[in-house]
Amino acid sequence: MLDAAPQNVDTTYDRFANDPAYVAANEGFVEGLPLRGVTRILDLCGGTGAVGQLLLAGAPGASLYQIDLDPVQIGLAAQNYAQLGYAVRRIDAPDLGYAPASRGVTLQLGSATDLPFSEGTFDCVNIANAIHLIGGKEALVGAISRVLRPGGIFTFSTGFYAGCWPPLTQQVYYEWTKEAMTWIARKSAAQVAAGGPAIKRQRVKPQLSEVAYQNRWLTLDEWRALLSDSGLDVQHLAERPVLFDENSLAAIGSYQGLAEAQLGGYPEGIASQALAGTAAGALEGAGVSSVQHNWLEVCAIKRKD
Amino acid sequence: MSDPSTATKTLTRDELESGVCALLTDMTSDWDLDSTEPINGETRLMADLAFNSIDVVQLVVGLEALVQRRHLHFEQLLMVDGRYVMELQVKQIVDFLAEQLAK
Repeated sequence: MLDAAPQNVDTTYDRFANDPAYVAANEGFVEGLPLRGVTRILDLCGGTGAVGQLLLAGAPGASLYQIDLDPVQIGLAAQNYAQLGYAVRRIDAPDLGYAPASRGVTLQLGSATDLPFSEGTFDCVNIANAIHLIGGKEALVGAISRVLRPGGIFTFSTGFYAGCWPPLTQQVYYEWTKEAMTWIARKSAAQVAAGGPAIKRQRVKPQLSEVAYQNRWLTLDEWRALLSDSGLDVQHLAERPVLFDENSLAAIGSYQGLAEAQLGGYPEGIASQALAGTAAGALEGAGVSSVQHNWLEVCAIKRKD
Repeated sequence: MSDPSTATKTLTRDELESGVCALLTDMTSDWDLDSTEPINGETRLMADLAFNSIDVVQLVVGLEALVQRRHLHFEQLLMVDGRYVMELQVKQIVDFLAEQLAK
């Protein structure tokens, strides 16, 4: 049914960032981190600041420097941090003279792979649910290790690694994509019948999905080896099972980044509407009310040579 | 309105191959491909048509519309020993559809 999907959806990450299952997973992740003594946090791909806020709550008095490629996410993060009483500063290029200030948040537009800071600038570097989007992981982890002080921590979580999807989840996600494409095909046919244009998928080179979906996802042992090779000793590496119901799937499905990865090439907004509107049907078709999506959580300490 | 899951078209193997080739030709008509050979049973989706994972799902949706059947078990075709296949030929798709429709 075409009218099952909302006509306007929030395509930012904000909706999923506030999803109860995702929030609980992030809270569980951050609660276990050794944040005592941390005063300088670098939050890569920080998005709306959902996890950065948890890090700051766990390290009262710390400063946070966030980098994100998306100005929309940076704008949302600025609002969110300001509402919590943090002093927010927005910049468009790396601040090489960065002087941390207690309860100060710096939001920089830029790439997580561009880290021209001095060695040992930060006590903690974090990437929440985004490391799978970055290619060249050896170079990335090496750069992170360089900007960490000895004894500092590198923390990340990701929902994309070898083993993240149990078989049923993989089946539901596959059927979900099919349902969404079918929804778009019906919408296109309805538009044509009404004298409008067909909805065509443009076969374009995806910006994010190429790395997120087409690169081989690392196993837990490969992550351990990669971190160790970069001078980072794993303190904690574990999987967290997270249950996503129809609301969770609709929330992440409406996010433009996922829509691009799942349904790359369809017009902006249409793919988000389709995924948000067919999430419930995909679960129903599999006879389940939720799917288990595993999250990998890692905390590694920079070796003191 | 008929139920699409039961209103299955009866197609011969030749008709299936013709339909699959026509579907692929339509799908790839505006793709910038190296090969200009007409699509036939020997055509390989990845090597000849540069298919990616999204293209495969789009093809499956098109195939289900072609045969007017939903929830065909394409995972049996697309996955072997728990891993996605690296290549698929048109004739394999046709054989799979013929087998599924005969059930």
